[in-house]
Amino acid sequence: MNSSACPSSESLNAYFDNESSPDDRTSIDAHLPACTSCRNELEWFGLLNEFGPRVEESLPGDSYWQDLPHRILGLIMVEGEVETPSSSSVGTKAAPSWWQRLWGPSPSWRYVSAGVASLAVIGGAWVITRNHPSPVNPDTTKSAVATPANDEAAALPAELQDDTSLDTQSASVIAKRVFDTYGTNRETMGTTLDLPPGEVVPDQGHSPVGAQASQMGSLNPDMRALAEEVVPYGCGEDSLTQVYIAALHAEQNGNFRNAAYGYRWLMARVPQGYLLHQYADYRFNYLVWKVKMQAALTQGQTMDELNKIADHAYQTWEKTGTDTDCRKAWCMNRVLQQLGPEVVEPTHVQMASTRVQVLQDCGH
Amino acid sequence: MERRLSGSPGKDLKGARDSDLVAWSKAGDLEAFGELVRRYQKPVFRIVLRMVRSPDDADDLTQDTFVRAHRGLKTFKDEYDFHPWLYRIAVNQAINFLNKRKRQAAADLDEVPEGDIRAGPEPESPLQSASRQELLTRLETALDKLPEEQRTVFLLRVQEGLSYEEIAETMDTPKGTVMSRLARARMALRKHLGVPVDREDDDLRLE
Repeated sequence: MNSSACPSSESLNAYFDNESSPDDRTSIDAHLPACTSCRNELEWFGLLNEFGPRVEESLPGDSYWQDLPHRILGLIMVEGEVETPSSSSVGTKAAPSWWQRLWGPSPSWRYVSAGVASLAVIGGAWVITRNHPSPVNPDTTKSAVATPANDEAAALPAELQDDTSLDTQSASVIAKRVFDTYGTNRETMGTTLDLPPGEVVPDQGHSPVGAQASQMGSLNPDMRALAEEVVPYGCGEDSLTQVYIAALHAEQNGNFRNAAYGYRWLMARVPQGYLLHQYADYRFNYLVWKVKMQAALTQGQTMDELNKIADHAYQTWEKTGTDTDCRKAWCMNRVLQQLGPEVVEPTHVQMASTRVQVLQDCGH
Repeated sequence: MERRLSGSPGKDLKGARDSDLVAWSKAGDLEAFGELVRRYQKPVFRIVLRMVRSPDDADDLTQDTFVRAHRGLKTFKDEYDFHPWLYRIAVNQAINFLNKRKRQAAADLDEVPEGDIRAGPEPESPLQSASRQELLTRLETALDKLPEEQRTVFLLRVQEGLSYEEIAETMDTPKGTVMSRLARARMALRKHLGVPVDREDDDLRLE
């Protein structure tokens, strides 16, 4: 390279990026003192490098980065490749403890179940992020207050039917307090719940929907603590979030009837499309499926019958095509798939996997 | 393959090399993969955020990138570096996303007038007369107007500090192509901002 002639743009870029060959570097070093335009060019490159810090400023806060790995690992674990502990009773398909391993206190399986919840919650938030209704849209609020159909309630397992003997700290008490506060003004309730897209949460630097999903999607097994973390993000002490917290707490403590009441109460009163409605919907469906499976085992039903239930849910969705049926079918088949060939016939696992593939985008 | 989430006894995950973490992840150690996520979540997020410009979409794509990476670990060859491979997945994810979005909103994109690229005053010497903040804002707008491949090369170099070789590996393209794209990107940004290019043998033309 002649030191009197300007290097090519590519060579000058490589020089700036310390990617030049030694010969090119020597030559450009000799050229620069006499060439204002090349020096200006290098100055320009330096200015462009200032883009890095600017992006850094727009990144989410620390809690997002602490939580993201957990969410990702949760997704990986529910991808269908999770294997059951090798110490369990491999090959004994009739072993009665399979659901305990799925839902019980075993640390690794708590991660699994939390991962499923994580996926469901994140999926719910995904829907909201993309199709968030206006809190004052009369059509939305009108369609959202429908009480679950009586026939649906009647189909619930007895363990989940409403009970008047709820304890004083249960979902119903808190629900009544909230209902008394907000009355029947659906718009007020919706506005209280709503977290406007794009609103910056202090110390988060991220949309509240994303932050909320982030918090709820954590693998932290203490669901109550997790739910309480949601409260600062726009849902005050007297908000409907408390109902959700109470329901989660009840579910965690094995009081499924209370939990179901809380979830159904929220589903009936919180407009569809709001984050809390989605959370309650997912949790309720899991709860129903969990109880059904436990009951099936207790009564000595076989896995074949569970497969029929999952298949029936899928066929129902095929007929109705509704998001609600889609989510129900997804939940049932997802759990069946998760159980794996250790406790379910391999062909049924395969069928469940196929259905999950079809259903995974439902509601999106 | 048995997966383990609770602990990696005897392993110093934070002090481990990427290659060790990859090997342990391949053997089913999810905590090891979690450490890889912690190391590269920010670069991956930054790359896709710059490309898709939406934090929520970047969040989705970052998750997808790592899930796909984990799924593809079995095909990852140990002699390569992990992060260019990971970035390639991220870039491909973002490109696929953008293509999908473009198809959905092609009409909207067509309505963007060419003149908008040079919107605002064009000082004779932005390097001297424009405030730093103003210039960075305008640069950011101009960056969005670059062809996808130029913007990606630029971001991988300037934002993530990847070497030319690593960018070539990430984008699965020859090193010479990386050099020319980077040079074109820097020149295009300069021209978008109305700064004259006065070098003697300017041999590049904007694509």
